[in-house]
Amino acid sequence: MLFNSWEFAVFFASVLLIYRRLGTRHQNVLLLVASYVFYGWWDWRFLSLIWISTIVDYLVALRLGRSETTRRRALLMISVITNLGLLAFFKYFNFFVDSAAVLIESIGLSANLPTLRVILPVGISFYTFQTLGYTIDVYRGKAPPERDPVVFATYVAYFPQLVAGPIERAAHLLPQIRQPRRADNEQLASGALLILIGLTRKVAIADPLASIVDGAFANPAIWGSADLLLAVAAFALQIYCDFAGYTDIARGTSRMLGIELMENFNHPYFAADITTFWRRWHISLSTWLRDYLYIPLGGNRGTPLFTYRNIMITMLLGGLWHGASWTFVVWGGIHGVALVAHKWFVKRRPAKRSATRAGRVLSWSACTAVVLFAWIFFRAPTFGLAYQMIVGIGALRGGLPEAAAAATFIALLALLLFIDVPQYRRGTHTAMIEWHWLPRGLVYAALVLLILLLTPEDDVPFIYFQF
Amino acid sequence: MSPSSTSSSSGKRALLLCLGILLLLEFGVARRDWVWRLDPRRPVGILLAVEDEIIRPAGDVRVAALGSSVLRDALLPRVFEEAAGLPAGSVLNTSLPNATPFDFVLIYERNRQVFAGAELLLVGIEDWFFYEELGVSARYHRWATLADRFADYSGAKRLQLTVSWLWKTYAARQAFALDGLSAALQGERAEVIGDDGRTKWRPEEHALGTDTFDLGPYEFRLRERRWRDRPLRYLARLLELAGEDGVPVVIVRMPMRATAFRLRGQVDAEAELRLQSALATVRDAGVPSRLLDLPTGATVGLQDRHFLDERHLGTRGAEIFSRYLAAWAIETYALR
Repeated sequence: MLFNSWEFAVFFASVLLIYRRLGTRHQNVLLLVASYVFYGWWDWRFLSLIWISTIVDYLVALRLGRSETTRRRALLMISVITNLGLLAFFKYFNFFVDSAAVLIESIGLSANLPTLRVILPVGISFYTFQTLGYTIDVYRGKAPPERDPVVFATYVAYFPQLVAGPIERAAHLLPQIRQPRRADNEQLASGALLILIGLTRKVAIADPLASIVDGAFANPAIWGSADLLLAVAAFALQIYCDFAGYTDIARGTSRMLGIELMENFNHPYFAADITTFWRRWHISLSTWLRDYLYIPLGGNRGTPLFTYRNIMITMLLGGLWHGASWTFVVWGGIHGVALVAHKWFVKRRPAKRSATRAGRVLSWSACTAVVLFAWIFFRAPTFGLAYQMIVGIGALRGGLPEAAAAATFIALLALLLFIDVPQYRRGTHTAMIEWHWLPRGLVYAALVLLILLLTPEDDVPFIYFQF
Repeated sequence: MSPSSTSSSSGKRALLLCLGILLLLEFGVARRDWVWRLDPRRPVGILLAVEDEIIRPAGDVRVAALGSSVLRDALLPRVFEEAAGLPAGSVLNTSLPNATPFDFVLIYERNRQVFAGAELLLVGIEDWFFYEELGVSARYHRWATLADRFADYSGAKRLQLTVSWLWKTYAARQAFALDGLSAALQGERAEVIGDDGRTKWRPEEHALGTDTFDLGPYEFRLRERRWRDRPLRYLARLLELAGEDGVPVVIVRMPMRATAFRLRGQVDAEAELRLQSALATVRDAGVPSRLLDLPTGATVGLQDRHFLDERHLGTRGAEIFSRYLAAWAIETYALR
């Protein structure tokens, strides 16, 4: 069931209506059943994977709560192996087999390794990380084990954020599920506004941009340099609006249920350097990687070289998390190198880097250039096509970009800025709620109409569902 | 007054304004025909244009035709009239791009007085009507009854179609789209119907196609195919309506380019069986009708080069087809 479908509209309206009439215990039961229906709508067979994660981590955490030090590590390993095992099999099995075959063939041996037709279960990368994070927190003593199985199962399968995050922390989400809650009018209004903004980002900005992106990335050789550059820029907006749009809808629906989800995007393209970009892009994943990978690796406790090594490992694995392809690893690698370079630069020239307006513009330009360059590897299905894109842009062939594509891009960028700039200035995603009622009403109507006009006949899934 | 209550009342006003605008659009615009006419190349606009410019001005109609763009291109009313010795303006080709049996019933019902007076109704039938992957047309969104929507579809599609039945602003989104407005601004409205009584949006400058044609994409589509029986319900309904009006019906199975027909036989053996079974259902409907089965152009005297693609005829092919159809109609029916 997609957020941008009528099924979801009916589903959520029904859940909300019943939910508001129930007590906390029954609300949780309803959320749990609704979450399983929501997920099972896509493919009920894969509910079993969620149940495996839920049962294993529930039991492991309970045991961790009363075990001796010596057994705690073994218990944690059960959770790690279960969650990462599921992820490795369903997401990476064929990738590892194919990569091994290429490696074997590269040293002159013949490789005839078997591959399987494995379907990637939607959301597996998100809920396995979320539940694994819980077990690690219990292991570290940062969160108490959850004793109520309904509360815990709801934490793992909570439908607003089940398939594409935000990857919630136990300390943030579990207490909210345990507590009595009832969204007040203000929460209902701001939740609905977040949903409206999210749908606008997805349907009115991200989906129409696909027409500029898909053609260029499918066959870069036939396009001019300006068209290819426009396609890369369009993809940067498309993936942001697609994913941030999903997050807005997730946070909006959850807020209407009285549960606050963490912020996942904070206007990353306004970041003036790559470190700030990563503090604002997919925040729940970057903080997860920081807390459960980068810091355990040693973080920045050691020599600069040791820190750089940790950054690179974190970013390479972060890239691989996105998909079973070396292109994602390269995407992570480019960001890793940029983060290392930025860290090195800041160390050498502290505080001076963005003192002036020109310096800030320069810094923002350099950061945006790196981010755009990295997106080529993220979007291109193969290295060959990524190479063609880069060579095509560098060749400076052809003239101006196609007028219709350029006009579409400019119009959609303007719409995005119309949404994002007030949010950025006011420091809240629901800045619009503070406007005078007249422009607000007009803008609401315009956004609803835009969503209606641009909704295609068939639902278009969110890009991050494949991760 | 507390800040919270001020904000709440401001929120209510904004919401009411938003709802007011949406209701104004719904009842003041989306339910009015002029908005659908903004772009007469769109599915709804073109039907309204055909009604305005072909059906309503028609005088004494003897032969009426309902079909998709294939019959639209293949049947030249003036050539048919001349070959059949009928007066000018007595043959009416109301075929529309992407029209299926649902549209045939729609056009017939909306213009029943014209069709009821005809002596013969030609209905062009093609295999793609029965393809499952065929999207829901804007005409269906605009005019299908709630009962049709529930009978024809299930699950999420049924829900979406209920929304478009209730909320015409949603159904009219194509008519509102920017290209529709741009077409309106460019004044394309007046150029819908050509002198030969057919809509203009077809490659009319092409008299002939080529002897060979790239069937690659067509083969790909065939391999992906699934079938549906929904159009049969509308064919049966059309036959019923014509039967009530005493209009004889000829179901014309439209010819394909011979190489495309052979390829379809190789790739999708089921296609012909499904089509024949559909036609048999029509035959058994108990309403006076005939089947003119023209799988390829061979019977008609058409060669591959008379086709512009796997189905659509060029002007030369259309002349041959129209004369053949006229001769067959005179021989089979005593047209006045």
